[in-house]
Amino acid sequence: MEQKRILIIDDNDQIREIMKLTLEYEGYKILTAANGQDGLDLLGEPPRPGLILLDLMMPVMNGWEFIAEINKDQDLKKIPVLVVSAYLESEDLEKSPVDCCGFLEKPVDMQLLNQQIALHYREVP
Amino acid sequence: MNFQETFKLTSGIYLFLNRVGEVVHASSAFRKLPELTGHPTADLVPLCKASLLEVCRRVYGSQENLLFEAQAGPGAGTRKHFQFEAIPSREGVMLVGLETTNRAREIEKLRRNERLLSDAQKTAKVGIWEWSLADQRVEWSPQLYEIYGLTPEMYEPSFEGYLSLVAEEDRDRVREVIGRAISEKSSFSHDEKVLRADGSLRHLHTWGHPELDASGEVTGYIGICQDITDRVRMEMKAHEAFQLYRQIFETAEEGIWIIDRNNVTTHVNKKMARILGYQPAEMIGKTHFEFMDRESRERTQKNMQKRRLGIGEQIEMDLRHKSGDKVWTIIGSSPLFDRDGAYSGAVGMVSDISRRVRSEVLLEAQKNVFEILINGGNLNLALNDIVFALEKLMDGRASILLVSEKGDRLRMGAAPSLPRSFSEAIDGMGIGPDEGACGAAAHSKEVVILPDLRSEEVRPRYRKIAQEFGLGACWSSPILTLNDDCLGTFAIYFTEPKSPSERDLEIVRDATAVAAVTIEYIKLFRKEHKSRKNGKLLADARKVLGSSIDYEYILKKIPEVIVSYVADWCMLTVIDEEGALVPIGGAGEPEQMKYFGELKGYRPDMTAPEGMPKAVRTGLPQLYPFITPDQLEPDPSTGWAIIGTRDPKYLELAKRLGLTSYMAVPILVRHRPVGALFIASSRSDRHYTPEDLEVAMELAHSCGMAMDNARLYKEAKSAVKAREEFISVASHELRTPLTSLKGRADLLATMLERNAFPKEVTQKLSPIIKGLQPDLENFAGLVESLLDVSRLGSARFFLKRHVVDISRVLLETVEKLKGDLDPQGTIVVKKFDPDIVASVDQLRIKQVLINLLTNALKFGKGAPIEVEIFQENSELQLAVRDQGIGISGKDPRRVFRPFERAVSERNFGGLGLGLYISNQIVEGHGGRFELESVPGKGSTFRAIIPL
Repeated sequence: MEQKRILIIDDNDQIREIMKLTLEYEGYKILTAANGQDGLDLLGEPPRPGLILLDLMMPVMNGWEFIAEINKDQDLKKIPVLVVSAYLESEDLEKSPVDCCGFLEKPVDMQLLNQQIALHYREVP
Repeated sequence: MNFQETFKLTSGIYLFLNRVGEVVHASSAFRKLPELTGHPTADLVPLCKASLLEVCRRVYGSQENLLFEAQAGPGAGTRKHFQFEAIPSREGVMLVGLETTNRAREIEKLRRNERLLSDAQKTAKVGIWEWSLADQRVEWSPQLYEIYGLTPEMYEPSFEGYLSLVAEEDRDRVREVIGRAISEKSSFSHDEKVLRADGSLRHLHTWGHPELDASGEVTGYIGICQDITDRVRMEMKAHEAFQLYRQIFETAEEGIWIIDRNNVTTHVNKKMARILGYQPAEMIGKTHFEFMDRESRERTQKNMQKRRLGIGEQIEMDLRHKSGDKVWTIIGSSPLFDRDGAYSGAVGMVSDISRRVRSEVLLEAQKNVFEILINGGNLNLALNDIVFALEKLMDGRASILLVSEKGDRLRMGAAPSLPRSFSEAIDGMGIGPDEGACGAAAHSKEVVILPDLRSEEVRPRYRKIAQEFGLGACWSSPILTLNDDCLGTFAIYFTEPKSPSERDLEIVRDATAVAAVTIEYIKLFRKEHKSRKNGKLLADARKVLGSSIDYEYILKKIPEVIVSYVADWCMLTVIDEEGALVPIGGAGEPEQMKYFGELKGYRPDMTAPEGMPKAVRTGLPQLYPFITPDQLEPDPSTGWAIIGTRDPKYLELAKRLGLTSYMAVPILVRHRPVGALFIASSRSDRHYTPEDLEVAMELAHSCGMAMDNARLYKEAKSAVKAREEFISVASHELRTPLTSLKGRADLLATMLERNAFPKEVTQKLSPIIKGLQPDLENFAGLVESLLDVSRLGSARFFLKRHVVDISRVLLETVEKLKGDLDPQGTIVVKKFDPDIVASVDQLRIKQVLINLLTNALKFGKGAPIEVEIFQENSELQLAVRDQGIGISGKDPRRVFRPFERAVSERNFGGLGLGLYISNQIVEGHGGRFELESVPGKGSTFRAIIPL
């Protein structure tokens, strides 16, 4: 059986790495990108991931912009997005709600992360 | 039994008279004495008993013993013979009688009654002694022993022994008195001081009466000794009192005048004599009528009738001075009575009220003045009343001139009786030695008398005026304050040349004094009015300036406040970074406001010698009371104008705004100038005074404070904002590495759990990884606290309320915490109501409980911690009670403030945020925290949340 694929978009190398290690240990195939633009580039190549873990505050292209971009594409917009951010209560988020399937606040509880992933993971054909 | 009664029973003929000749004691034998004839003195025959009394009084008066014989009975055969001796002393007279018809028998009788006498002795503190000259034997009655404080066992009486008891200073005198009496075969009496056995001093009076044998030789003495200590002491007191009265008499502020029953003066004190211009000796012996005119004499005749009836009163009476002048007095007069209650004269306390009577006229005027003023009348009108009063007292026409505001001229104050043209002629008179009488008086501050205005000595200008108005003399008196400042002059004019008498000068002085008080009062009245206004200004200004901490608002308000009270227009400048004064606000009348736009570009030259630049440079306020139009032009020599500029544009502006007086006041903040106020008057009747300057300084001080407060607030506000931002950013930034760290620890833990490593590695790693977890939890908790604080600060703290079974939530929390942190089981749920349902943010309420419990574990010294979760009056109560160290200090509730902790951070770590956040959470739920804490005993935190 093919490995489940998850895309992690986070500008912090450390977080990207440990999430990758953790989820790989759980058996997922992990793709990583340091910002929205890189993530978008990765999505151009199939096979596409069944879930995107997205940070919001990032250089080049932030989380809001990334979501706006994938929502333009009929296929890409079907990929579930879990927002993982330290800024869940920021005014930015209040002003500009994010169209996503769930939020996880940093520091992320890995157990909770696994639960959420299991809940929302959905491979798009 | 008392003395008198005892005496009645004795057979001896005794009589005691006191000092005023009253019979104190009379023995019954005396009472039974028949009518006597005899020859004590030529004019006392026949001797009746009444005559005996009269004899005694005479003897007392002369203080000489009198020995006489008397007979009674009709025929020679039955006639009884008596011998009497009257023995005087200061205490009175003792009359001793002996029936010589059968003397021996009488003496025997006397002896028999000794016992009775002794009682009498005791009662009157009287002792009896007997002295036989032949054998020098002395006998004392027991009472005499008592008087001396001796007993027969201690002391055997003798004459020398007696003398040794007499005080040393009296001894020689006593010896002499007795010796003389023996040689003259006469009685004696004397006072003496004796020393008692107990060492106390007693005053005694001793009478001695010779006993004669048939041949008339003295065989001894029998006598009485009386203890008069008490009376002597009283006398001494009386003497002291007398001295005191004497002193009062001589130094009294009032005249004291004592007359006898015949109205003859017996005593006057110096003051009394002075009132009437005499020496005391000149008045004594004259009746008081001799110091009165006819009218007063008649009144006094009537008044003396009242005195005789014992009535005193206070009367106004005019007396005659030695010079013939009338002296107005008030006399408090009281009758005097002698011991017998007979009228013996009167004493009068006399006050000279002549000046007062004169002053009353002036004071009446002053009263009128004040009334006029209080009712809002004007000063000149008020002063007319004082002028009228002086004119009433003197036959002339008066005027009051006032020193002008600048102090260089005299302006017309009041001259209601002088022609207007005269007033105009002297109005504006200069002050100086060569000016008219008033100018000279104001200059020298002395009374100036020009007795003849026609004389050559008067300056031609004033001579001409005098001639024109038909004035012959002018006396002018300066009106001076207590500080000797001249307020003006009071002048009186006469049509003929005239020099003042002493009395005239006195009246002028009095009138001037009243004028001075009046004018000062008027000034005070106005000043008070002004200072009340100023007080209101300052209060209002502080209110306005204190009402806001908005810097810009305050700068705008300052000139407005000033203009509403003390200025016609006002400009506020502040010092910018380059040290230049920049106008930033102005206020004035609407028509003046339009010029302020042009002032915007005004930058005063800071080197200017006057105005705001000087005020800022020196830090001292500058007062310019009078600005003349030419001072608004550049000074030809310096190029500067009085307002501290030489720019024609701004000088023109000042002229258009109008400027008659101004103040330049620096605004200081912590002693450094931050700006200046230009407070201006454009009216001719408003000239700033030093008092105004004081108010302006106060105002500038308030402005400075307000500006500083506003600035500080602005800074503090940005500092607070910066801190909040820092906490917010820092806590978020902390989250990222924390996420990574926690992720790595979690991953390691998971891998260990799943035996990803060889067994021996797992064994070694396992405790390390386990130890990492609580540290990370703790770290995460601290970061969360910081985040909570930043949320609270930024008003982004909101509660996510849901209806929950809060009892269950809290109980689970306690159980979970007990499992994690309290293996010893110190936490005990003491009281618990199940099924409390509330709409709360359960996570936050849990946070409160966790905070309270972790604190209790931290500070609880391991003693049991009681938890109560219950409902009372539709409130949820969540209480945690520890028995730990408690909270010391005055304000235990400080623990609810951020970054506060009950104890030093050296002993207990933490950020000091837990209780702050808990309190915010509870208050966010509309609840409150109650705190009881006893240092050393423990604390109870009680969160109360309405359901």
